[in-house]
Amino acid sequence: MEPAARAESGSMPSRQVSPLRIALPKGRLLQPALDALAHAGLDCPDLDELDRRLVHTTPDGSAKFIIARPADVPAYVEYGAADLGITGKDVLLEGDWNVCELLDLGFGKCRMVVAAPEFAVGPGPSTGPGLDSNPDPAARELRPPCLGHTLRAATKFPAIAKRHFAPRRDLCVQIIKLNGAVEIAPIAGLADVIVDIVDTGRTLADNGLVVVEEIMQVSARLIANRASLQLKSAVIHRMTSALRSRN
Amino acid sequence: MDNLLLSGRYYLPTDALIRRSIESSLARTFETRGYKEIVPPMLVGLGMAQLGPDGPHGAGGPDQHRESARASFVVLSRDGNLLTLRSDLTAPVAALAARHLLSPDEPTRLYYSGSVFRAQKPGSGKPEERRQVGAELIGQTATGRQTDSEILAMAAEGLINIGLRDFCIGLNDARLLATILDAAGAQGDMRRQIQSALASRDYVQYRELVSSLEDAGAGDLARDARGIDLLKRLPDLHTGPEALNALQVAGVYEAADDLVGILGTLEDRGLGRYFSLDLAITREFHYYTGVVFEGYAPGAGNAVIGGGRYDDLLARFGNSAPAAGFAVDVDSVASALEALEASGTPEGSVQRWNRQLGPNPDLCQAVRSRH
Repeated sequence: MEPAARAESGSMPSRQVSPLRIALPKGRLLQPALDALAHAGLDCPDLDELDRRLVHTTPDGSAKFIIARPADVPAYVEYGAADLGITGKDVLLEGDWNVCELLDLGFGKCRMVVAAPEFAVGPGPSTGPGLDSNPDPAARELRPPCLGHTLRAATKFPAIAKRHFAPRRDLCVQIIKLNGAVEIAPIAGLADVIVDIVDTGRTLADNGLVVVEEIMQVSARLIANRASLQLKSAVIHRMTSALRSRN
Repeated sequence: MDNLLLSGRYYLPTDALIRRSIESSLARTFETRGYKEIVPPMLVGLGMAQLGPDGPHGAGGPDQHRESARASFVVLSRDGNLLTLRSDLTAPVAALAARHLLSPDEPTRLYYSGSVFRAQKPGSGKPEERRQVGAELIGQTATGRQTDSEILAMAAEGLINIGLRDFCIGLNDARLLATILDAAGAQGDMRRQIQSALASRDYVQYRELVSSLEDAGAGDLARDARGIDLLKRLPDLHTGPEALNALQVAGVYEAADDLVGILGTLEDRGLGRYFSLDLAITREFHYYTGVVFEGYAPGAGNAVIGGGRYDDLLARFGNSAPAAGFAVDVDSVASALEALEASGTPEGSVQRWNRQLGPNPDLCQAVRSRH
C-alpha cells in the first residue's frame, strides 16, 4: 500500500470553476452570518447592499449569495440551487430536510419553549412579573385548561410541537399553525399555550406569558447540499475549517 | 377521474425522450459487457420491505426525529395477503438469481430497468416513483477487487456514455465504520446514535456524540485512543492519502487495503478522476457488506448512482453467493444532463424557456436509430 502514489486519484479532478452559492437567512441571523463568512475570507457585501439585491456575487466571482427567508434556506440547499446555507436549527428540525449539517456556528442562540399565561400555570415558587427568570421551570406544570379538555397549542413549528407533546399521554393536544406573532394567541383566546423561539423573554413577559417547559436550545447551523459536499469538497472543507476555528 | 395533482409524474414528450435515451444508453453499455436483461415484478412480498430503509436495521434507526417515516407502500391483495411496491430493485433481482440463475462456474450478469416506490414527506414535492436502471454481478466467483473494479468501471463508463461529465463517485467500505466503532469502544445506544447521525449527515450531532464517547471512556485503558481520533476526523477525510494514512493507524487494514486496490485498478483504466474516497457514506439499504459507493453530478441535488457489495443478501433467498451491483437514478441523470446543456451557453436558463416545442429532432433520430 503506497498512499503517496494515490495522491492524484484522491484529490478532486479539475472542474470548471463555478461560484460557491450560499443561501443566507434574511433577518436577525443575516449580520452575524455575514460576519462569519467575512472571517472565513469571503468578500462579503454589507447589509444595505443585500437589502437592494437579493442575489449578490463577490467581485472576484468566487461566491454568490442568495438571500432567502430562514425557513426557505434548506429548500435552496436540498434541491441544489445553493451549495451551502446558514439557518437556525429550529428550521432544520421542523422540516426534516435532506441536507448535511456541517457546523454549529454558535450565534443566534435561543430556546424553543412551551409558554402559557401566568394565570394558567400552577403556583411556582416565584410569582410576580418577569417569571421567565424563574430558575426552575419544572416547578410549573403544564396541564389542560380544565380536566378532560383539549390543550390548544399555537405555533410556527407544528412538527416540533407535535413531537414534543407526543409522549405526554395525559394531554390531548390540538396544534394550531400560525405564521408569526404567536404570543398574542393566548390573549386572543385562540390557544391555551404557545410553542415558540425565545431569545431574551421580553416579548413573552410583555404578553403575560411564562415559560413552562424548555424543549431545546437552538442556534445557527451551516448546512450543505449532499452533491455539492462531494463535488466541491475542497472549497467547502476550507470554509468549514475557517469557520470552526472561529468558534 | 384521475387527479393530476395527486398522481405521480407524467413524462411529457421531451422528458420522455431524454429518459428513453438515458435508459437505452445504459442498456447498451451493459449489453456490450455481457449483461442480460431481466424484468423483476413490481409487487413483491412484504418481507422485501424489511431489507430496505424500513427494515429493523434501517438507516434512520431509532432516530427520534424520523419515527413517522415509513418508506414503503403496502398493498392488500384480493386474497388478503400483504404485498409491497418494490422500494429497490437489487433485492428482487437477488431473490430471482438465488432461485433460478446461479451457475457454479460463471458469474451471472444481469441488468434491469424499472420504477421503485418510496414514500416522501407530504408536501415535499419529491417524486415517490423513481426510474432506475441497474446492473448486478452475482456468483461464487464474483468476489474480490476484480469484481468490485468491474462494477465500478462499468458504472463510470455508463455515465460517461450517457454524456455526463464532471461527476464524482465517492467510495467507502461498509465494514470500515463498524471496525472503527469497535476500536473506539462505541456500544449499544451510543453506537446506533453515531451511525444514525452519520447517515443523516448531521455532523454537529455526530461531533457531540463522539466527544461524549471520548469523555465517557476516558479512564478505559482497554480502548484504543486512535479509534476515537479516527472517528473525530472521519467526516473530513476526503482525500485518498490522508484518509489511508489515518486508517492504517487504526488497524483496519483489510477493508482499507481493498479500497486502495480498487482505486488503483480504476486509475489504471483511466477512470481515476471520477472516483474519490468518502468515508462518511452510509447507504440507506443495510444489506451492503463491502465496498459501497454513491455518485453525484453538478445540477442534480440527489445521487445519480449508488451501489455496492452485498455478499449476504442471496442467502436470505435460500442460495448464498457473493454479489455486487448498482442502480442509476434516471431522473437525477436527466437533471444533470440538462444542467450540462445549459452551462454550455451563457443564457442557459433562457434557453430552457425558449426550447422548441416538441422533441429535438437530432435526439429523436439518435434514439430511433438504436431500436
